[in-house]
Amino acid sequence: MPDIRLINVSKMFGRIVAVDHVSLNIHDGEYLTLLGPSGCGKTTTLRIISGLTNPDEGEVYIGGRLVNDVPVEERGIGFVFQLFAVFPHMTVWENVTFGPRVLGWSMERVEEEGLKVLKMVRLENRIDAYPNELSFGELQKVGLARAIATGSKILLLDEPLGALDAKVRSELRLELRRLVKSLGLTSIHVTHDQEEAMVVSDRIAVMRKGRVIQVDTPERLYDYPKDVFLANFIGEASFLKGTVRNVDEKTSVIEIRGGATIRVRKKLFRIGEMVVVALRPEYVKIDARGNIGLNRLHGRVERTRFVGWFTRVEVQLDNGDLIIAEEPMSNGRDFEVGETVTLMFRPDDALIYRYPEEGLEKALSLE
Amino acid sequence: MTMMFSIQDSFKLRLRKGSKKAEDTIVLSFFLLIILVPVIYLFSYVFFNLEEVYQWVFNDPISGNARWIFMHKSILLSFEVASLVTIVDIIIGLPMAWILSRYDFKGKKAVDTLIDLPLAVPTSALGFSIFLFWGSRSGLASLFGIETGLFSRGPMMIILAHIAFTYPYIVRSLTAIIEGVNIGYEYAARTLGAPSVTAFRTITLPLIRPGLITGAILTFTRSLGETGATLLVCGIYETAPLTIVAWRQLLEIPPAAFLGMTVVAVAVFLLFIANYLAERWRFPLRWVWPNIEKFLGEKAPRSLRDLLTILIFLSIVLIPSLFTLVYAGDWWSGSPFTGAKESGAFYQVFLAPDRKWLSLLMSMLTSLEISTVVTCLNLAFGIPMALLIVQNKSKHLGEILDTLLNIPIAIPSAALGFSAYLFWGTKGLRIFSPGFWLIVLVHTAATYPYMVKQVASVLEGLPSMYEEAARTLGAKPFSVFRTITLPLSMPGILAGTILSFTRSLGETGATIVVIGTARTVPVLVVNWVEAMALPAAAFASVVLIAISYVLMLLFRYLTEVVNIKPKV
Amino acid sequence: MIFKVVVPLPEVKLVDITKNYGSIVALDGLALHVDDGEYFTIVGPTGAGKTTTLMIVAGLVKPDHGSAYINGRIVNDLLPEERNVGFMFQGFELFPHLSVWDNVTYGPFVKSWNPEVYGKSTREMLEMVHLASRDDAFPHELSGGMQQRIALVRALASGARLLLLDEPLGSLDAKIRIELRYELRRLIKDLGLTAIHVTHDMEEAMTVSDRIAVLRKGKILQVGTPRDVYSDPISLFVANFVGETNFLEGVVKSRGEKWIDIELKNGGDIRVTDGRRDVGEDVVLALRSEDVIVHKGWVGETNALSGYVESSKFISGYIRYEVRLNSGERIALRRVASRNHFFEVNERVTVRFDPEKALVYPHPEERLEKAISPD
Repeated sequence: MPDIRLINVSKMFGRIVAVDHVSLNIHDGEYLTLLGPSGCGKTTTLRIISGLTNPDEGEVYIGGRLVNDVPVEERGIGFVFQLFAVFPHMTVWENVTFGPRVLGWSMERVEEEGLKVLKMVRLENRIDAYPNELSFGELQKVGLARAIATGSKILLLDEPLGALDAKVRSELRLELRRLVKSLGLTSIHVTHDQEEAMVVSDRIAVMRKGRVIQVDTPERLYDYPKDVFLANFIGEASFLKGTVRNVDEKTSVIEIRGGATIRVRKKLFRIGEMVVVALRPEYVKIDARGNIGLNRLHGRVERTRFVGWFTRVEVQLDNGDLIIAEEPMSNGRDFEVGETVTLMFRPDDALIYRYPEEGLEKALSLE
Repeated sequence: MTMMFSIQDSFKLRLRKGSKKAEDTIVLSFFLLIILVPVIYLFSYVFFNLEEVYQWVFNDPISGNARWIFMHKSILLSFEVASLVTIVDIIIGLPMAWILSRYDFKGKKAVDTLIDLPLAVPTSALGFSIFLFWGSRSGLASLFGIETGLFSRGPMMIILAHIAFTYPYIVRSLTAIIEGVNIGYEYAARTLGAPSVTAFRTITLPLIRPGLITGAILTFTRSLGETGATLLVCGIYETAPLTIVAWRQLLEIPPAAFLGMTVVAVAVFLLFIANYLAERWRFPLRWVWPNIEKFLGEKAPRSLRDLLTILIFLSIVLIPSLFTLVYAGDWWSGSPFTGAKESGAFYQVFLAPDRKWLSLLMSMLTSLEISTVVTCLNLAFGIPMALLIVQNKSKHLGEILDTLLNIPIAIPSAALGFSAYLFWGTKGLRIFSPGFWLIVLVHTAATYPYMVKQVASVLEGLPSMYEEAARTLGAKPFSVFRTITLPLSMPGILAGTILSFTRSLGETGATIVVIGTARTVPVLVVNWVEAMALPAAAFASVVLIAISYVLMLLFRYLTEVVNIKPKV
Repeated sequence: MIFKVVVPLPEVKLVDITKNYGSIVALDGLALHVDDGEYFTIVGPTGAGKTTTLMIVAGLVKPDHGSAYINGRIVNDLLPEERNVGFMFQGFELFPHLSVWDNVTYGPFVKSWNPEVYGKSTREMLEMVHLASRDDAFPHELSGGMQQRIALVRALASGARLLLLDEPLGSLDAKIRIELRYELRRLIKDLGLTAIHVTHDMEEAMTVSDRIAVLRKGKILQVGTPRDVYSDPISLFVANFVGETNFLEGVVKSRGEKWIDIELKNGGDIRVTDGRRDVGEDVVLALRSEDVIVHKGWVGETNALSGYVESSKFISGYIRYEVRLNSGERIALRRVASRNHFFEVNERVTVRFDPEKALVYPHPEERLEKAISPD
């Protein structure tokens, strides 16, 4: 299976830097997602790999071969488009077998492969339908089947689920990963939806403003985000601004607004430095049975929302900061707005970062 | 191994780039040599013959500067007519465009086809028809018992003819523009409390402003350059194009060239003004008249407005344009007044000793031959040109070519014909003299821009993702073109083909200038009208209208059937 | 605050609404009641008829049959400009040729209100959404999130108390969408409006609404609070549309007063708390992925099905496992990601669940897949 390498790739559109010296290694057989807010350069990067866009700088290697001068049609890739790009003047069958036919395969081989991929996406009984008779979910499956029909070992997907309903999206992304893994393809997927990225990927490369800021497995990205932006962008987090008051061998004590202190099991910053503490909602417990060593913060319930298998509780601390906590339905508890509660979390579970220069709001900004 | 691949790959790349460059050069050369240069040759002719021109126009030994004065008058007349026509067109065309783009009713398709009808009528036949309707005793006048017709040939009739001629263009372009405005904006305005008339004035109108201005200026230039129809309704008056024709026929080349150049310069100048104004002029937005506009939007006034719009269309545009049919029917077997058989169309065409039916047949063949050759040339060189423009839209080349294409459209057909006549003939390259091939070249120059623009707009509307998808599936560029681009642009290409064919079929103004001894049907009509064989002329018109109309219907049918609407 | 509630808020009623587009039935006898001050969401797949419903309330579309009432008054013949209903469109539809200020004041302007009066209140609203400083910008200069807020202010600037929202978050990035959901509800509750919100995203609906109506193919399937619809879905389609649900087909083998025993299609016996099904009836068992319990190895108890872990995936703080049962079906379950409890792929496990948590439905006439399909 081919691997893909990008070395120092850059691309500008007029004065705008779309891709800024991006280097990436994708292992063969890996499912990697390029994740980031709109405009971060992920689609441009994907198009550069495919050959649909030419980089201004840098090199692209596919399977060890430098492909900068190789046109799209000779790179041996499959591409799935956000708006499906299913040829409107051809039936499902003609669409799916387009690649094999263009490559001059024998009739038998075309038929064999065509039926095989259509069975994989469960559309074998729609082969004579025209695109305008299909639902959006079915259209994307046609796009997928078509992209793999030629036997390409590389699959590139540009926001493949973006035009679909939420429910269809959540079902199709599971099928997508299953399909890619069963065929052993090397896959690069572009999306702005971090949950989608988590579901499909082996590794995720997060991009922002043309640069790759972290590449890691979903777990590591979630547990060890490199900066506040990532802590907020992946999953959810509440942020507390504070100052380091005390540091010893393994722990730091941080004082937040209003005087309350938090203990964290990290030793990263010096006394007096301004920091940000990030807390994931599922680590914040409400009125839990006492355990020594837990951090405690007091506040009142501002809002509660039932989300399904947990309730999202917004608590306003005495100092005015807002913390989100997740209350599992299985606990069987209900909280009233205005109720005073104690929030608890383990020192291990807090993330700490240096307070960003540009201010917290700008550092978290998605725009 | 990797190194070998790299060398092979860059070599292949250079080879492809090279052959693409060769293709592009051929296409561009065709455009320059056959279309652009002949059309603006007038300028270089005048420039190189400055003294001669000066003498003819300003200092003629016999007439002094009479020609200069006459030029003034005819240009002035052209301008007055064009201004009036433009204003009237917008007033009566906008409501019709609104009906076509925003309403949905049972007879809509029928109305839609009818709007195109005047386009199917060759310009000389159109002028003839207008004359018959407004100016002969067999027309409207017969309803009132007036002997001589409501109007006589002259400015009034010219205006009526021009309105009929330009109406389909302005309505079509306004409809396309209004449809291009997202209807969501109107919905939003209405939920915010604006009655539909207010929503139109404050939201839609400003958003169609560029298109409206362009449409108005194109209408102005079309009227300015109209020759064929004007020939038949002008009487003793002369618009600028007519003067060019007249001087050309008198072989007074230098003044004709000078006038032609002037009119071309004015047309091009107006094009630039259009672009400039399109950006800057703003509608008054500050005022609100809630009560009046609310009233105007209510059911009764709205229905009245719609009814009036359709009535005006029928009485000023449609019926006058097709009146030849009625006339030919009335005068078929003889005069409806005297009963004299010799005055009947049947006799004049088939039985009279001068064998008009033979001339008609020959001209028909000539017309069809010419139009076929012209269309083939347009397809062969126009489609690649359209591709070239679309592929280079972002770079300056695409924009420049697009602007240059507007020139043959904006130039009066007489001036276009005359310029080509000079370029290819005795005053230029001396390759072609008036006759079949010169006509072909002139028609090509006149219709090529329409083909290119039509195909270009379809290609541009084609989402790039289809071609990209095909490439990712392994199709080489030519395969992509053949299996994806071409089929998906077919509606546009067919439309362009039929447009090109029918326009060539009906071309009068430029053809007259380069006709020589050959005859096309539109020119035949002019000749027969001048010889006062009106019923025969009517018959010839009917034949041509029938053919053109059938083609137009085909065009409508094809654009609907072949129009594959992608779901997304 | 100028717009705090002193008058009763609008309530909306739709009675027996039918709308056809040619041969396509968009709405089929639809009936709805939205209380005053309620945040009501209509949720359903694309093409279910949600936007059409909203347009009928706004007056932009006329129903073929049925009546619409706003505040008890029939509005069928009332033009959109006379209804004073705020509308937020899916693409925002901010007038591109007008500045932010001209956009938001368009309503009052077009009704010839006194500029001094509405100028002040509009500015206050802009300040509430933190965009007072951008009032001279043009829409294309603003980000998606900002445009959405401007569209909201514009819809409310004329004092409308009823707000209709057509997929207001649809065109935004996932993360922004999630953040703005909470803001949207907060804003609308603070302003004290009645809102009808339309979306295809069930999570969004549950987050913003007081009550939800599930719409499919022009018909309302269920109306209730988010909790009701989540815990008590009325049909297989609704059960599938909300959250992630596992489905097992089977036949009722025996029953007691409050329980039934089901023999699963491919083997296995299940007991479920449900008194409504008869012996011999074909049924479908529905179980939420978070209600599935899993143990290592084989734990032979009631309601236990044996299988092995087919896949395991970490997703934002929880792990989603797919277990392939011995009988061949696939069960999805989710567990909070915890440092001690992990299941390996190919590990043998037992799947169990609480008999109270499972839902039972009669087997639909068509294939199960078709009955639950969101397409």
